[in-house]
Amino acid sequence: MRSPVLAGVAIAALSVGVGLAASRSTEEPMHVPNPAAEEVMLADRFGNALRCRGRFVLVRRSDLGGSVPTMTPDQAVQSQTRARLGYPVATGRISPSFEGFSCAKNARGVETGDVVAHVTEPSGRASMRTLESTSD
Amino acid sequence: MKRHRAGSRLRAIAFVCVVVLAGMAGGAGAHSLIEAGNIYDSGNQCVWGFTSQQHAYNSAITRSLTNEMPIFQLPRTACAYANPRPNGYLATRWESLKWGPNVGRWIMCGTQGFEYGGGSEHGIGRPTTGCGAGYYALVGSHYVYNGGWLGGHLVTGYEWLSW
Repeated sequence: MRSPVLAGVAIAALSVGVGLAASRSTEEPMHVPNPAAEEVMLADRFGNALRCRGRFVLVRRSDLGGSVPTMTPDQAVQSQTRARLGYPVATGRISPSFEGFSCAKNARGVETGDVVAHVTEPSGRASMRTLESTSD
Repeated sequence: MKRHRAGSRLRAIAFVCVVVLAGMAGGAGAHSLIEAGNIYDSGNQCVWGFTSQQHAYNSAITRSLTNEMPIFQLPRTACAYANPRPNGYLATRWESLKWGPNVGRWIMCGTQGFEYGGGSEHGIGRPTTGCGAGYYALVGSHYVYNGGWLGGHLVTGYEWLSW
């Protein structure tokens, strides 16, 4: 009497395992990231590609800080000095961090097509920034 | 005898269940994406980078190295010695990317923009909450200034993370 029940449990467990493995393999990346690409898609709060006004959104990588330094060493040191003087708590940082993206909306609550980025400013303060979409 | 056989069967089934569940939990358990190595080597100036995501903490380290021992003029060894630079001459950033299966491309989960430092090593890092289950990779950008920014990117392999 116990055997059919246990066999059923085993088959169910194996089914879950095989299903999970299958779902992973179909989602497996087809290539490695290209950090030199000028535009990038963003993850929405569910971890899917962000879609605004029905379209997948692309933004310029430079709007997210870029992938090549844009300051000279002198400019970086000046920014660090300004940051030390300007912030109540010195973090030593001069660039924002981005994590979390959503669709920008106008006053009537309609999506504009642009993106709102959730930002941690160098001061440690949380803020929002609007990023222009480059999608057609 | 019959009871013994049933016990063995029960243990075997329990083992299968544990293996399956462990496999499911694997993505959420200890995970690390790491890439390290020389990115730029012109002899006198080398740029070494380390990029990693470990236990929901993303980090990147840049080192300024050289072939020549600064003091004793010992034999040249490729990128073996520290080559300290003034403040502002080392720049480091990272970005966390998640594979978007519905779009067939990597999508940005989060990034820490360029921070600048000096000496022979500069590191940055911060905790991340991730963007849900999926395949992740981390890109680190490592640069040293020597008349212009020298260096490039390190891209880790990708790994399934369930967060």
